[in-house]
Amino acid sequence: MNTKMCKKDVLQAVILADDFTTSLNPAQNIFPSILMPVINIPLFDYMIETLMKSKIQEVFLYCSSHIDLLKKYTKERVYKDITISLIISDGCRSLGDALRDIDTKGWIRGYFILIRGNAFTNTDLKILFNVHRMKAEKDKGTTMTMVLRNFGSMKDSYLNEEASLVVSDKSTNKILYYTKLKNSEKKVKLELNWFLDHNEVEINSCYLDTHIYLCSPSVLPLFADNFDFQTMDDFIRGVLMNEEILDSRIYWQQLNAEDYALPITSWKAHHILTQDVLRRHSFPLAPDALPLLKNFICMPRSTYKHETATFAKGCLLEKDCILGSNSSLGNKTKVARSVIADNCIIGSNVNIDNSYVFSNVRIKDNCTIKSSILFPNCIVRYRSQIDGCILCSGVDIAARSQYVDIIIESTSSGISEIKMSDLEADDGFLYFKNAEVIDCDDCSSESSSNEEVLECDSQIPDDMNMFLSEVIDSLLRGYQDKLNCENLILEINSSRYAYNVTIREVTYNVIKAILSLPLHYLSETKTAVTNQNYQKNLKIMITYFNTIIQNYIKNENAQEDCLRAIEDVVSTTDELLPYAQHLLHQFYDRDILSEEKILEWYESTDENADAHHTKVKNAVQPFIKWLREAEEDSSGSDN
Amino acid sequence: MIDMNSKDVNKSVLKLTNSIHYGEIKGTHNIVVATISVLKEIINNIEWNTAKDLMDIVVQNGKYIIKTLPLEACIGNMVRRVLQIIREEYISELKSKTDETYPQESLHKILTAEDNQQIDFNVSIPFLKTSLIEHINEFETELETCSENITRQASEHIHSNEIIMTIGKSKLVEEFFKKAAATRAFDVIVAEGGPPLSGHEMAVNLAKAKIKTTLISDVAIFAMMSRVNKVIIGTHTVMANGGLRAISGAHTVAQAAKHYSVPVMVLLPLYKLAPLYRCSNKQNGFNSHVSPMNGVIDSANAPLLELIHAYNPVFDYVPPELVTLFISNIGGNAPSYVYRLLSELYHPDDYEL
Repeated sequence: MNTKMCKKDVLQAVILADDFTTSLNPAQNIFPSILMPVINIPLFDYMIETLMKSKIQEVFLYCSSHIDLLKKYTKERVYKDITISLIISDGCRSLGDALRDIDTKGWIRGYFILIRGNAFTNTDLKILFNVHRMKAEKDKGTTMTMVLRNFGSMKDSYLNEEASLVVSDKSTNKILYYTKLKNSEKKVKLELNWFLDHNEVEINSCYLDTHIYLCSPSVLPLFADNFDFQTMDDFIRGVLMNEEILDSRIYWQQLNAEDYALPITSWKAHHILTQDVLRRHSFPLAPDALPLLKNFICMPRSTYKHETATFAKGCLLEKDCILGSNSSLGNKTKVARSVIADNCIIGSNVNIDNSYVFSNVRIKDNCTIKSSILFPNCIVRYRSQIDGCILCSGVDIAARSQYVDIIIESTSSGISEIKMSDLEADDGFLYFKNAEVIDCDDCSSESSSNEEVLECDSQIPDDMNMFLSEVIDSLLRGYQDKLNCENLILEINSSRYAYNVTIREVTYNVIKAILSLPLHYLSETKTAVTNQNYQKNLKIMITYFNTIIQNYIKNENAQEDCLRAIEDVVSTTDELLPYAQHLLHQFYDRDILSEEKILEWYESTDENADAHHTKVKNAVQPFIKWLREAEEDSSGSDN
Repeated sequence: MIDMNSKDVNKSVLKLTNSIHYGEIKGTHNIVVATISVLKEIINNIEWNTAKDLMDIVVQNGKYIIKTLPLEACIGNMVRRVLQIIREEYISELKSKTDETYPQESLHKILTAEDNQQIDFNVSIPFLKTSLIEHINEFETELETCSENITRQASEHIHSNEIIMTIGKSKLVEEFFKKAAATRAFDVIVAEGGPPLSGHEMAVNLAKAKIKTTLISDVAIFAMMSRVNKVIIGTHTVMANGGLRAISGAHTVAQAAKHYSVPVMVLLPLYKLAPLYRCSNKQNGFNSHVSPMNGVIDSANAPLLELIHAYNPVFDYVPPELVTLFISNIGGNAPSYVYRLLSELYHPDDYEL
C-alpha cells in the first residue's frame, strides 16, 4: 500500500500568493497576502510548516504581485524535503485567471491541494487529501472537497461576517447549496428539491470556509472552460447549478475538532487569528513550539517575551501579547492584546492596547495607541494619541497629534490620510476596532447602521439588481427592435441562470421590469414623463409583452408574485398610481390574474404595511368594488 | 522544519530532529535509541583525529538538537552519556599504554584521590574508534534490557492483595504490573489523566491482562487515595534534585498520597535522569502548553473562546519531597540519592553543554 502511494505521484499543493481582495487595505500595496505577518513571521512560514508536517513534496507558489519580494523571500529560507517552485505571472487579477493560467502552463495534471493566500491551518492535509481521493475513486465526478471548520454559533462571534450556509446530503457530504450569509439577512430560502431528492439533508450555518480546497484534475479544465468563474464562490455556485451538465460534484469535509484553521479575510480575522495563536489554539503553530518562533519565554495570561527583549521598571504585559527580539519597553508602559515585533523601542508611560506594532517602530513617551496597526519603521512622537488607525511604513507622527479611524500613508510631500469610513462603504473593508465592543449595548445602533451599509453591497441583492437591470435592458431592446417575445423569454431565462435567481423572483422581476419600462423608454426617446405618456406606453407594452407575461404567470404563486411586484412598483411610481386599477383590470381581463387572488391580495393585511401600500390599495379600491359587485352579480344570477 | 541556522550540523542530526519534531519518532525510549544510533553514525562517519575533536563535534551537534527540541531532556542525556563514554574509553586506552589501572571513578576512589590531574584529550589514539563503537554497542544493549531490569523488580514492590494507584498511560508501568500479576493478585486503580485521557487505554490494556482494574476520573483521586497502598507512576524526566516532570495530574496524585502517607514510587529508566533543574514557573522549555482544543474545550465554541483563556499544559512538576522511591534499572533509590546517580552517569563538565 505504502509503495503504491509513493508510485502514484507526488503530493502537490498550489498556493496563490495573493487573494485578490482589498479587504486588508492597505496591506496589498505592501506585500502579497501570503507574506502577511502573523505575530512577526509571515503567514507563508506557518503554511510551509503545515505542508511539511503533512508530507507534501511539491509546492507551487503562484505569484502575481510583489514578485521580487517573494523571490527574495523564498531564496532566504532553506527548505528540506519540499520543493517550492514559483509560477510568475504579473498582472493576474483574480483567482479564476490564476487557475486558468496554471492550466495553460500545464504544471499540474493530477490531484492537488489548492490553498488561497490567506489560509492558516495546522491540520494534517495528507489525511484530508487521502479521504478526497478515496471519494474520487468511488465517484468519478468528484471535483473538489471543501475543508470547513465547525465554529459553533457565529452569532455573537467577531467573525459573524464570515458565516456561511451549507446545505449538504447527509450521507455523502455532497454540497447542494453554499452561500455566504450576511448577518443582516434574517431569512434563508430553502428549495424543495433538496428535500425531495435526498433522504437526509443537513443544513448548517456554523461552518467556516478554511480557504483550503482539495481538488481533482477536473478543476483546472472547469475554470478554463468557464470564463465567468472569477472567484471561488463563482466556481462553487456555477458547479452546483450545472451539476448534471458538467457531471461534477463538490463535497465537504469537516476539519478535525482539535485542529485549527482561519483564513485572514479581514483585519478582524487577522486580529482573531493572532489572539488564537497567542492562546495556543493553533498549537504546534504557536510561540515556543514553532522553530521560527523559538526563544520566547511563556508567561501567564498568554504573554510572551523574547529572551533578548527588555523591560524597564513598572511595565506590565496585561494579557495576550508578545514582545519580539531586541525590543524594549520603558517605565510604566502597559501592553494588552498586542503584538510588538522585533527591534521596537517603546518609551515610558505608553499604553498599547489591541495593536500591532511591526518591526523597527519607535514610540516615544506618554503615547496612547489603541486598536491600531503600525507598519515597520514608523515613528510616533511624544504624547500622541492614535485610535483605530493604520500607519503605513515609514510614517512619522508629530508630537501631541491625535488621529482616530484613519489610514495614514507617507508620501513625498508629507502624510496623506484616508478616512476608514470611506473604505468601509465601498469594499468589504472590516476593521477590527468595532469588534471589541460587541457586547456593549450603546453601540448596537452604531453597528446596525454599519450593517445597512454592508447590505447594499452584499452578494444576493446585488445579483438581484443586476438581474433586474438585465431584464429591463432585454425588454427595452426587444420593444424597440420589435423582437419576437419567444426570443426575449429565452434571453431572460439565460440571465436567470447567470445570476442564480429562483423562478418566483423571476416572475416578480419581470413584472417589475415591464411596469417600469415606460419610464426607461421615455427617457431613452427623450419624451417628457407625464401620466398620460406613461399610461399610453404601458398599455402598448403590456399588449406587446402579453406572451411573456403569460409565460411566467402560470400558477397561483406566480400571481402572488405579480401582485407583489405591482404593489411595489405602484407605491414607488407616482405616474402609475392613478392607472393601477386599470392595470389590474387589464390583467384580470387577460386571465393573467384571477379574481380570487386579487381579492385575497387586497384583503391580506400585512403587519408591516406602510403608508405607500395602503395608498396603493386605496387607489385600486374602485376596481375591487367593481369586482365584488360583478361577483355578487354572477353568484346572484347563478341562484 | 524551517530553520535558519543549521549550517554546521550533520545531515542525520537534522533528519532526527525533523522526525522527532513531526512526531514520527514518539516515546522517550524510541527517541533515546534513535539519538544513540545517530551519534554512533557521527562517530563512525565523520573524520576526526583526537578525542577532543570528536567531543567538539558531538557537543556541537548535541547543542543543536537540544536547542531545537528543548522538551526532550533525554536527548541531552544521551549526548552527555556519549561524551562520558568517550572520556572513559580515552582514559582507559591512554592508561593501557602506560599501566593497567582500572580507570572508573568509584566513590572510594574519589574519597582517596590525592589531586585532580587535568587530562589532555589531544593525544591521538589509533584504536579509539573501534573501542568507542564497542562501548556504545554495549550501551545500546543496556538500553534494550533497561525496562526488563526494572520490571524484574516488580514482585519486590507489589504484594498480594494490595491496591495500587497509577495515572495516565505508561508503557513501563503497564509492563511492571503485568510482570507482578504473573505471580500474585492485586488491584489497580487508574486515574484517567485528563485532558489527554490516556488512562483509558491503560485500563483497557491492564484489564486484558486479567488484572483487576478500576478506572476513575481525576477528581476522584483524593477520595480513592485513602484505600490505596501504593502509588506507582512513570515519568517523563527526573530533574537533578529528584523532582519529576510527569504528565499533568501527577502532582495531584502525589499530594493526595502525601496526605494519606501512601508511598509514591516512580519507575525511572536511567536515561530519563537529567542534570537539569527547574528554577521558575516561566522557565523556557520546561513545560509544553498544547492547544486547549485537545480535550479542554470544544472548538465549536468560538464566541466563548474569544473571551476566555484556556490552558492545556502537558506536564506537572512534582517536587522531590513527594516522591518516596525511584525504581531504576540498577535498583531502588531515594530522591536524595539522585545526585550520586547523576555523577556516576555523566561527567560534571558536560552538565552545561
